[in-house]
Amino acid sequence: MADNTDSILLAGRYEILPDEPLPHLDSPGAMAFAVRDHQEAGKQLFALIAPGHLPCRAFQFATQTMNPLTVLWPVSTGIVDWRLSASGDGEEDGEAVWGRRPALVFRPPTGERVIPMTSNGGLNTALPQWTESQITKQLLQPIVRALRDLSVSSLTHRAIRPDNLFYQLGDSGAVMLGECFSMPPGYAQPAIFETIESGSAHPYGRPTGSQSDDLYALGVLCIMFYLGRNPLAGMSDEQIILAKINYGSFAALAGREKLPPSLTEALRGLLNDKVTERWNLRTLESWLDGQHFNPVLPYLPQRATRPINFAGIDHFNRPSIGHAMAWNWSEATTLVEKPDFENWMRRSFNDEKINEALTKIRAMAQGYGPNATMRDRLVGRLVVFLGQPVPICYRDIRVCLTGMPTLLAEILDKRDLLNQFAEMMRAKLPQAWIQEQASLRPEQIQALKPLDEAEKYLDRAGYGYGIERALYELDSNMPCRSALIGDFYVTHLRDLLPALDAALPGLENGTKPMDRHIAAFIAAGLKRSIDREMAALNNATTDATQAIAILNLLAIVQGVHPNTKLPYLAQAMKELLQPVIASFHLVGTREHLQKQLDRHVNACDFGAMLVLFDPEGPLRRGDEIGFTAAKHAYRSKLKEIDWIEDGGLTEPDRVRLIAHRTAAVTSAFAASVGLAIFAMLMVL
Amino acid sequence: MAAMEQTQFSLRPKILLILLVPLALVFLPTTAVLTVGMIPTLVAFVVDGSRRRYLTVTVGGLNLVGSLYFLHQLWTLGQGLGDIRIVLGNSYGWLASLSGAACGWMLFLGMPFIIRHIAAAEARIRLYTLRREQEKLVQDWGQQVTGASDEVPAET
Repeated sequence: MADNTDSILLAGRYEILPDEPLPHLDSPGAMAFAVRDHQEAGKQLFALIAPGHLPCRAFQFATQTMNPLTVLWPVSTGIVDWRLSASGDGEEDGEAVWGRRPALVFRPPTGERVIPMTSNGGLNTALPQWTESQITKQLLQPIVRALRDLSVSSLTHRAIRPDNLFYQLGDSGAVMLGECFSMPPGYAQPAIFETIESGSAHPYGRPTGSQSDDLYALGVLCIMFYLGRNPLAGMSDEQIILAKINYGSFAALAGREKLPPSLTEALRGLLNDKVTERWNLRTLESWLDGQHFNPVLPYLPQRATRPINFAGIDHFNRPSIGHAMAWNWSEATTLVEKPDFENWMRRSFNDEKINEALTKIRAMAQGYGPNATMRDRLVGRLVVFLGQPVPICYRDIRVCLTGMPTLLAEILDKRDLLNQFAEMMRAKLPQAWIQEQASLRPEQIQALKPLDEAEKYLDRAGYGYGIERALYELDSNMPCRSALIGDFYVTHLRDLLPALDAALPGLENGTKPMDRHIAAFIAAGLKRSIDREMAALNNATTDATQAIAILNLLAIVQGVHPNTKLPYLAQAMKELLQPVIASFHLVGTREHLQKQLDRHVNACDFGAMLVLFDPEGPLRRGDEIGFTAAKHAYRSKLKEIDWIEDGGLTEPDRVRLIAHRTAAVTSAFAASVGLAIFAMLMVL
Repeated sequence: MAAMEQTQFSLRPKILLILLVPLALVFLPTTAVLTVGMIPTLVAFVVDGSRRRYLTVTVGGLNLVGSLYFLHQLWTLGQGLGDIRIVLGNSYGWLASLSGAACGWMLFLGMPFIIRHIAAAEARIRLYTLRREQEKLVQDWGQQVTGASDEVPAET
């Protein structure tokens, strides 16, 4: 760990200067700092420091290269030691608190930011007003090139908004996209730039998305830059989403505006709410090349014969009421119990199958979870059924399928939301959402297996399971959130033991290098099942058995990722294993174990330690067998002592018998000797 | 097999009797002197109630040694029937014979006292040894070896 005087180096080359912040290059959620390149002095660079509790998707694509004039692309990424609090800010005055954070080093854009960064994606400030030609040349063409570059690597940007655009040069002309890796996809996007489903979701729960989401945001951007303002200014996110549902995105955004016909053609295509009918990149490129396409009809949901009033608004279609229920949960729980709601559903859509669907929804809601939360589950399932496209909703949670890992990471310390998230998973709402989809996109299909794994372990209690296991199963790049190593940004099992080793000197003596997060992180990171080892840890009733179970897990990790430079961790395990040594009965064995343990601690060999203390090993078995024999011997001796003390040896009958026998033998012996002497004398 | 052993045991005294009676008749003076000299042993036999006849053996052994004086005198005189009276009339002979029997009685009656003291000493030594061995077991295996619950090593 770096101390106050150490420089913060990335890749042995880029020195990040924490005392030189560059606020004009900040990204939402990530601060920018100056960087000094040790190999090319004078080269202009800056670094973004990403938060430590979220997976950083930059690491997956660090090796890709990108045209620097189309998108702000990191020249280097990695994890650096980072001062979390300055001297005097920590618990101990004068000691800075250090941790590790993901760092992304960029070349600064050669142009200025199109509009200053604000808290609402730039919507609070005046937007430039461009002509159709400017929009085509300065906005669409460069961004299409950027998206084409990204598509080669199957990447999405998911951060296309006004304040994340830079001019390629100076303060005018073509633009380039800002960075997109410091925060989760869609995190800082205002709802207006997101599709209906994604816009409803929590900023941390937005989907990884596909290129069509980027194209949708580009369409919104075109309208704003043409108008020079936000067409939906003053509307809340909920109102924006409802407007998009009721009128279609294009009509909601540009219905009252006068747009050039050719641009309208593209915008109708880009803002189509049906993903399968939305323009793709090739269509847009063709349009830019001058090709024309038939106008795409807007996708509008089936209109009810009569409206239903909910939360002060008349709703004319299912998605509208579905979304409104998601945003007004407590009122929705009352609504679903009223006969008016079911009557409206049955009579307003001329749908013969609606009765069957509603019965099934009620049955499914009753099937998964306790009665106390039955109405919440029912609302959750109805929202999923009615609101499509809609995120998975449960009380205050609104999350997209591929955004579940990042949202869970964000709410992990918020007990109430965390409980809601767990209830949502137990209610099998993600499965209900999946069943409502006509088809799944590739990134959603990829999310199914981790989801299944997470659900498998969610309801199991104990170390290695529960919501912690779900967190690490949902995203294999999730940093470990253990209180012991939470600041070390450990995303891979390989880094777990070194992080524990680095963390232990700052922790209290006797701290166990294991908690629910570490156990879950190990279980999720290993390719094989370690249920048996986890059972040993969870069933441990004494310090000794717990120490062996912890040692077992550490040995497994060390076996998979060999590392023998773990002196503090080995020392901590030595202290933890003292009760195990004390559990051996024979003093000689204890001394032998202590010597062997010292040797293995010096070698930091947890596997050898485990063999030493193996409950089925020769030392343990020999000790048990010997101890049983020793107890038996002790009892025998005790009985003999009692017998002697009770007069067993001096008992009169016994003494008399022995005495008389002795007398007889003595007499017989004397007679024999006497007869022999007599016979000799007579012979002589 | 058991029947054969039973038969052998019951035959042995008879065979001995068959062998000894002719011998006793051949050496009649010696038989007579010994029979008279061993009268204390007969008395002991009569009063000995034990199954193994320890008193008879103890008194008889030393009575026999004392009676050897009579035998020596008889055999020196020539083992004639007339010598029996001379020999049995010797008061030294009776002194020797009765002294032997008396020593047997004293040995029989005094031995329990000696053995009691020896047994007490042996008990003390044995107790000391056992306690030392117990202490060694506790040293090696811990207090738990006694079955007490103090200093119980952690179970694994």
